[in-house]
Amino acid sequence: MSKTPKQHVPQSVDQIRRGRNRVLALSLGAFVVLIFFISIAKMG
Amino acid sequence: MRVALDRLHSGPSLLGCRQVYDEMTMTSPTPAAATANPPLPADWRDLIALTKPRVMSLVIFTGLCGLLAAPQHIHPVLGFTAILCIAMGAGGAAALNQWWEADIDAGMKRTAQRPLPQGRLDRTTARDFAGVLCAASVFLMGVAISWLAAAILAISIVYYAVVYTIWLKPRTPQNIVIGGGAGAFPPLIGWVAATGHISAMPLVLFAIIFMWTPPHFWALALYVKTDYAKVGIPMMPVVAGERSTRRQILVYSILLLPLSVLPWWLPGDEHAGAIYGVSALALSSIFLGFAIRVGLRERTGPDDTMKPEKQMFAYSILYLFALFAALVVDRFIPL
Repeated sequence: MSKTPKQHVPQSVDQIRRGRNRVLALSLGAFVVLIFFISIAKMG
Repeated sequence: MRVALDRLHSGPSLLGCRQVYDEMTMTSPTPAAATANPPLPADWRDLIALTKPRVMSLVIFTGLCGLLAAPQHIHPVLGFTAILCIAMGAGGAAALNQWWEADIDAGMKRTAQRPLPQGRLDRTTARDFAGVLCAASVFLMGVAISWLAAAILAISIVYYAVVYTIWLKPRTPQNIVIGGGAGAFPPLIGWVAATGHISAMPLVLFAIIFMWTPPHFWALALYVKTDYAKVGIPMMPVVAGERSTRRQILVYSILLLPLSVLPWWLPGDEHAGAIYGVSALALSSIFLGFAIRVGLRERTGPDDTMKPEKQMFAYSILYLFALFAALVVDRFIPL
């Protein structure tokens, strides 16, 4: 039947965690790329 | 809870404020409720909201203009990094501000929808997020750009989060005058990131934003002063009254006019050209026009829509964007 609040909360928590993890992963990836380009720029 | 709020607003010491706030936040949810509904983890959108993105846009823009207006050119990657560090530092300082003022924000209509007063984010996460942003911005600026720029960035963060937010704001109606310096740092940081040293021009740019902040903020404070009064923040209209605030808006706007034109008259090769000079004169004259309208009027009554004040606040934002844009245009198209 319809979702009970108990089922809904863990799903929301999961969605929020997944979204936050994705943003964190992208940020860390971008940071690594930035450090790479900073190194190139500093060497130049 | 009521007693705790009363204690908070009756002006205890800073430590007292924090203790009262901690008591409030720790005792509000009952253990049973906490067990039944465990708090949701922080959503990334709420973390972004914590950095005050709209305020940050002006910070980024003025920082970028300081960087572009500098006589030395910087490698695009390093320039991007410098602006990123300014943005991260400003975001971290804004998050620290919201962490400290969560109780005050909850009592004001304008800020009650923020993540902390709404309970969408817990205070520890906000504090940790702010700390990481501030530390990372200063460290990256130091390693990638220069430690002088990093030091100024660190000073600007401490100035906003500690000097303004914690020390001045709850204590004196001059809070925005002195605290306005925090928003004046970005062009100085941008300039130092590009040149590696401090000279007259970035200091004048600092002074322009410093002088612009009181009329800009008091125009807003005039029409939200009941909110500030409600939470016990001694903003100028609350303490000195509307008439005095209006006169002071006028005084600061008069002083801003010659100051904004000063980069045109600076000696040496740093000075701005005619494009900037004429733009500054025109923009500041319009700003003064708004200030005269606000400075010489009286509130007509409780139904007053405060249209001139709202128009002045809106124009003041446009003014700063346009003034700094003119500085950059002038640098690239010298006459």
